[in-house]
Order: sequence, then C-alpha cells, then structure tokens
Amino acid sequence: MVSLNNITGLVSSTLVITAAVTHLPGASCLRYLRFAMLVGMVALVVLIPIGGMPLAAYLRGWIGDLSITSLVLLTLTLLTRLPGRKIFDSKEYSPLFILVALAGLVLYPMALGIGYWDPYRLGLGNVWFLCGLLLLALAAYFYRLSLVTFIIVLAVLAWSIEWYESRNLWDYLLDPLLFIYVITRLVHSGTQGIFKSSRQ
Amino acid sequence: MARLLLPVFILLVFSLAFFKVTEYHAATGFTIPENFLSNNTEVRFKANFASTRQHTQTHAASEIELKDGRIRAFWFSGSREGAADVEVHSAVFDPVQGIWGSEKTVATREEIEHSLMRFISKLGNPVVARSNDGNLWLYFVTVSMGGWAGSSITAITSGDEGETWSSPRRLITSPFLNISTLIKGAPFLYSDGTLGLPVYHEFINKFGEILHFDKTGQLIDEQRLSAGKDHGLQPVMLPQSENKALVLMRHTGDEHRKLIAVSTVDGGQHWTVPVKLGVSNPDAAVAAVALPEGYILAVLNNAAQGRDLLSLMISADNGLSWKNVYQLEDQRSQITDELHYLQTVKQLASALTHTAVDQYVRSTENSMCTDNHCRFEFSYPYLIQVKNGDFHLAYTWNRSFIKHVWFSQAWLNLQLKSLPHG
Repeated sequence: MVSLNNITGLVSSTLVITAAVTHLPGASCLRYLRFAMLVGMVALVVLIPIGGMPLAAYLRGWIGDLSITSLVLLTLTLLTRLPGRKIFDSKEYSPLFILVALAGLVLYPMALGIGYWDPYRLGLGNVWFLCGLLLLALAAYFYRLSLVTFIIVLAVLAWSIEWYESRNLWDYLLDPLLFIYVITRLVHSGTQGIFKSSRQ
Repeated sequence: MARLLLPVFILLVFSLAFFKVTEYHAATGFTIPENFLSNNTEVRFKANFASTRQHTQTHAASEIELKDGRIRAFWFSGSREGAADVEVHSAVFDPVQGIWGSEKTVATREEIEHSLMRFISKLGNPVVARSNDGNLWLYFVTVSMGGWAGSSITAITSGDEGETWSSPRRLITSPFLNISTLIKGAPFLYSDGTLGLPVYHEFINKFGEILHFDKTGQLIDEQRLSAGKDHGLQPVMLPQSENKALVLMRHTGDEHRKLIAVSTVDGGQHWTVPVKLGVSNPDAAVAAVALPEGYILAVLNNAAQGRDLLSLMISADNGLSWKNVYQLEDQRSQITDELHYLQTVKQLASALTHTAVDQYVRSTENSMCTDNHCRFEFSYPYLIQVKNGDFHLAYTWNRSFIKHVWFSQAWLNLQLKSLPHG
C-alpha cells in the first residue's frame, strides 16, 4: 500500500509537471473545459507506472518532496485558470515571496556548512522558532495577508501530524525550487522596476 | 465570520505544534560501552576474508556483535563503486568455529527504489546499529542524482538479528533537496537510550554532524561538529564517560595531512572547535574505540599519502600523540608492475584463505590493475570491541574483498608491553 507521504511526494511532482505543461505556448490560451482536460491527461500520464515506477517518481528522486508553500502556490496556479472568484488577491504574493527569499538566504548557506550555527536544526522542534512563526502568522493576519497566514498555519499543521517523511518544519515551509523561483521573480521584478524608472 | 474564526484556528494549530515539541529532547550524555576488561588470557590474532564474492568491487564494511556472540558484518558490493548493480551485502562470523557464513544480499537498488517510490541511482556505505530495544538498524547511503555529494540516508530495521529486514525509511537531514548526507562512523547510544549517528556532508562544504534519533528511530536533533572551513569528514564518536566524548575526523584539506578532532565535556550539548592531531592521515577513513583509563585505540592509514599502509595505533592523551601498536598492512615498498604485484597478492591472500586463492588474485587484479600498473589499498577500517573483550576489525582489502582481523585483549596487552616507553 502506498503511504501518505509517498502519495504527497508523487502529487507534488505531478503538480510541477502539470504546471509546467500548462504554461507552454498554446496551453495557456485553452478555455476552461479543455484546460481541465489537459491537466487531467498530464496528471494521468505522469502517474502511470513505467518500468514499475510512475514518471513522477523519477522527478521526485531529483527534486524531493515540495513544501506546503509550493503545493499551495502550484495548486493556486492551476485554480486561477478555472472560472470563479480569485481565492487570494494578487497583492498578497509579494510579501510571501519576500519572506521566502529572506528565509532561504539565511537557511541554505548556513545549512550547507558556512558556519557552526545551523538554522535547519531549529525546525526539529525548537520552541522559539515556533514562537516566531506564531507571531508571524498573527502579524500576517493583522495586516490582512491571508495567503501568508494560511500557508504558515497549514505548514505547521502538516508538520504537527507528521504528514511528510521529514520531521523538520523547514521542509514544510520552504524548498529549494520555491526559493530559486522566488529569487528569479524578485530579481525580474526589480530589474523591470529599474528599467521603468530609468525610462521615466 | 471566517476572519473572526481564523485566530482561533491559528492558536489551535500552534497548540498542537507546541504539544508535539514536548517530545523533543536535547543531548543527554552518553552510554559508556561496558568495561570490556577481559579475564581471557588467550593471545589471539587471526585474519581472514569476510566477503567471498569474486570479481566485484567491495567496500565500506561495518560490523556488530549479535546477541549470541557472533559478528554480523555489512558492506557494499558491485561491478564498481557507484554502479547501478551495487548491493548491500552481509555475512556472519562464528567465533566458535572461526569461519564466516555465506554472503547474502540485504538491499538492492531496485527494491529500495520501489519501496521509497522515487528514482535511486546507486547505493553506498552501510552502517549498523543496535537500538535500546534490541533491534538492529541498518543505515545506508542512497543517491538519486550526481555523485556521493548527492547522497541521502535510508534506514531499515531487523528484529531477528539481521535475517529479515523491514521496508526502508528515508531520512530527511538536509533542506537542500535532502542531498549530501553520508555515513561511515559507528553509531552510539545516549544515556537515555536514544541513538546517535555520526554523519558528514560533502556538497559545497565538508563538515561533520550528529543525528539524534528517539527510541522509535525518528530524527529529533541534528548537531554540527565542524564547519565547512574545517574540512572534517567521517566523524568517529568515542564516548569516554557520561559527559566526555572525543570525535575523530578525517581531514580533506591539502595543507594538513593529519586527523582532526572535536570534544565535549557536557554530554554533547557543546563541542569544541576542531584541533589538529599528531598523526598523519592521507584524507582517509579512520576507525577507533575508547578503552578504559582514557586510551584510544585506532586503525588508520598512518601516512601523508597513499592507502597502502594500515596501522593499529594507540593514544593516551585524547589523540594528541600516538604510538604504532602493530602494522596491519604495509606495501609501500612493493614494486607495482603486474607480475610482481600478483605474486605479492597471492602471498597475502594465501594467509587469509585456503580455497580458490587464484580466484582471489584474479579478482584483485580486476579491481586494482590498469595498463600493467597495479596498486594496493587497505582502507575504510571499522573496529568494534565485543562483550568478551575481543576486537573485530573489518576493512577494504584492495577494493575487492573485506578483510576481517580478530584479536584478543591479551594480544593487545602483549603488543603494548613491547612498546617503547615515553
């Protein structure tokens, strides 16, 4: 029987492939029903076992299991193409991206051995790390950044019930693919802003 | 309404998380291995091959004493290191008869890949531990992408002394795609019965860490032993008292061809910065056990270059100075043209086995000779002391076999007596 964390890992790889395919030229202009059919077909193909393992499992071997943050953002990417009201305002993404970038800039270099202090250790049940996240979730609620609040609470809940293989809360909040995506987006936005201001 | 309920939901979720945190414990001192001072006066030094499979590359042995006094060893074996056909193998040594049983497969890449539901390209170093409840835990390296720097650790358990094994569990120990955690050193127990596993990282920076598992085998802490600038690898943990421990590490830098070490005096809550030790080492693995009265017995390649010299050494001052107790292997002066090499290999193999010596020679030739040039390698030692005081050493013999050396405390005492004083 396939375990819950294996299902989650395969789903996260499937979401990555599906989101990538739906951003290809041609796919992006499909109407609702055709778009939904494309998503379903891609998901089906990557989950069919080839040589005993689905295609998603090969990708999973390389990228690992994505964080709750990535899963939420990828799901929202697909949902925004369907009819209906947007779940989160587009202005809510920038604060989330800035938080992800700041966290990643501290976490990854230090966790890869730059110094003796390892912030990754905080994710293994450090009370002060949890207190910081609680304050961040409450602050985000206060400033009506419901996407940030939603992701923090969902990640902490998933960690508490040991949803993933990982016992480390950082792995529910952040992953390297998300960090690279966010840094790329922020750099792109920054250079566009500089370009616009120089033209004015 | 939803907005009003959200703070309640936040507090509920965080209450659950804070409750979970109460399960976590910091390092709590070490369990000291039983005082193995033996009354056995038999002077014993015996050596043989633990592995028997021919024409494979074999490497990275670890071993453990079984409840009935036999020794079970593990290693990896395949067409070459890092090949897709590499498997984790095991065999059992019976000290009563003085022979090794047949070599059996414990884990294959395909089995692990299907159980973990993710692509695995190769298997590597296995290390065995006994948890407080008596079960065996086998940790081994799995790689999904790249070389050994792309490693992660997978664990399987056995309740029947290694005859059968559980489904694998993948350990998540690094935030960066969970790559670059490897194992070599022997696991140890904390005083509360939880397990510690020395590990090291190789991606971008090279440094040592300790993974701390609870009694169910779940990871509860990671503690750094060195930073990237220290170039420390393959930590070997040596608990000396409940609060004191020394960790030896292989040094990977070019400028300092010696071992390095860190230590603690507060049960592992804090560790010193690494210090350089007074023993040469060519960036190669070391094995050691802590003896009573502060002595450290180690097996290592005691040279600045090459792995053709393997020494049994002792230190009385936490590793600062060392004495050579016994030369386990020394092929530094050997001519390495193929003909002379094969003659030497035959001579060495004949001392370890009486059957199919030529097969052992051919297997070694396959692993160690290219273009009429051959080399010797005696590496990756793993040393344990068992309940009756005897020592069992396993190491890679020319990348082709695992050699087992069994010596008694009486033999060691005899060697120590013959050492020059000072």
